[in-house]
Amino acid sequence: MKETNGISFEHRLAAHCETGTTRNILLNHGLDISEAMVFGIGAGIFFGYFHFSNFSFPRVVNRSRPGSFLKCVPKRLGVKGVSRKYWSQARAASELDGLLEQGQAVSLQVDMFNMDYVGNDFRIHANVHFINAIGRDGDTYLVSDAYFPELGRLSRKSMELGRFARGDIKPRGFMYHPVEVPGNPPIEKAVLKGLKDACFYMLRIPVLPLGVKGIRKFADGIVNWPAIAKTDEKLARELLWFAIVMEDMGTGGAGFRYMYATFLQEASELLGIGALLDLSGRMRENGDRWRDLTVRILRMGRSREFDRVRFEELRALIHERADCEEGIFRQLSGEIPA
Amino acid sequence: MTDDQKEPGPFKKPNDKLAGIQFLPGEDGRLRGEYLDTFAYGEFWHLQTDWQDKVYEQYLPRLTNGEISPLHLYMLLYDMNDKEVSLRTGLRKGLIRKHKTPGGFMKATVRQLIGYGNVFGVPVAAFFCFAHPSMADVRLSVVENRDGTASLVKPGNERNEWNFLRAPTRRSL
Repeated sequence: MKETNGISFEHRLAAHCETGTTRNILLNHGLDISEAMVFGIGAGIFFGYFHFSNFSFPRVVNRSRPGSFLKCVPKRLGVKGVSRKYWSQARAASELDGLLEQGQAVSLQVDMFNMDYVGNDFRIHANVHFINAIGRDGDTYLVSDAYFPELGRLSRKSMELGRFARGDIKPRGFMYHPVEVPGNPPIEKAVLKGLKDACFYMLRIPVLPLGVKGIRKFADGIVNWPAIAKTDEKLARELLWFAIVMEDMGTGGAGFRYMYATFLQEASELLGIGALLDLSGRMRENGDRWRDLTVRILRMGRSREFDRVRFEELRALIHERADCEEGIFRQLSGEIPA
Repeated sequence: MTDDQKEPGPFKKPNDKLAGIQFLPGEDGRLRGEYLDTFAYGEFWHLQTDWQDKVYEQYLPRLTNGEISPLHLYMLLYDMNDKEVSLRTGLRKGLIRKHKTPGGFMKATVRQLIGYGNVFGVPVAAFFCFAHPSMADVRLSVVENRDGTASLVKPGNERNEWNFLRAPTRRSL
């Protein structure tokens, strides 16, 4: 527990920034749930493969829409809170300052590039980073970033740049703070809702090829990567980047599959449904296979072996993952009580 | 677990103060968060830095020859296309294409340059000072030519090393 300008805030590390931020802000309002539980209640598991002109290379997304945990997890747990976005930077800054002066910690969406306490290697433009602002000392904000063991310090200018960064999924000063936390939150109901939503996101999203269909799209798309990258150097970097997206970028391992397995394990104990524990084991095994796949891709990137045959092998392996996840979520869909 | 994966162990500092947490089964078989070294991040950044060095060496002569603008060099270094820069700065793609040429870049306003600086995390001055790979710690400076175009000079070519960029005005033209 750290005392900062009158705000006492317990800073805990987490695998992922948004689930960690949500868990920490709820924890500091008296609601102690695990990070995996936040991930599951928010139905975070997902897969999408996007090849837009905005990106210089196709991108893989393995979690639900950024901001969804902070918006829907507290709501599902019966927590009353305020979330806002702003057009005016001045208003956003004054409201943040006002809340901090009242002793209220605030969750914020920022561009990671502008976080002063982040090392140079980690300074990438990502408008989907989440932190808790917990105090202010003149023009310096004190923030709790779930990726870092120590509290960070952020200048007013960096905070403004981070909160109003342009580009895809711009934060527009997004902030959230709980107002009233119930004494007995409906966790079981929230878990069931999270399970149902996860099945919908993975199996039944209409129109766009997302979820399991997204994994299949990725399988077919990866074969074209050498042609899109044009040079071996670029392809090697993109393959390494894929490994980072799956393992290093706050996923908890295997593109959130291990975190979801942990959630299923906890949900099984909470709801008393034994089948969820079996599904947790299957999801963990699925995570192991995803990790094997990532290691394979990593090795390809290192050795620069970019034959078409290797990409065809990858395609078959990724299709296997899609079939496996389809099986898991179809079974999960059948196990959820109506 | 394969050889490439790291065994779970005590907290290390893989990247500055960054903590990598992965969900792994404990001795009792329950999954829980454990600190792990990062998987491929260090390697990626090593590769990225090497690649940026190569791009810099390859394109700096083109910058000094007046073929590309400093903005174009930064876009190559950060592997960003016109659309990405346009989204991040709020400027039109056509304007960015214009600023990618040396002549067009000279017409960029200070506000636009600050916008570019925020995207690449550098001060505006960084667009006008480039260290030459063969001359460690020696700065190149931009000078304004009489016709309003810009060119880079190495110290020694000019009496004063510190040259400041001035946007071409009607009078100077």
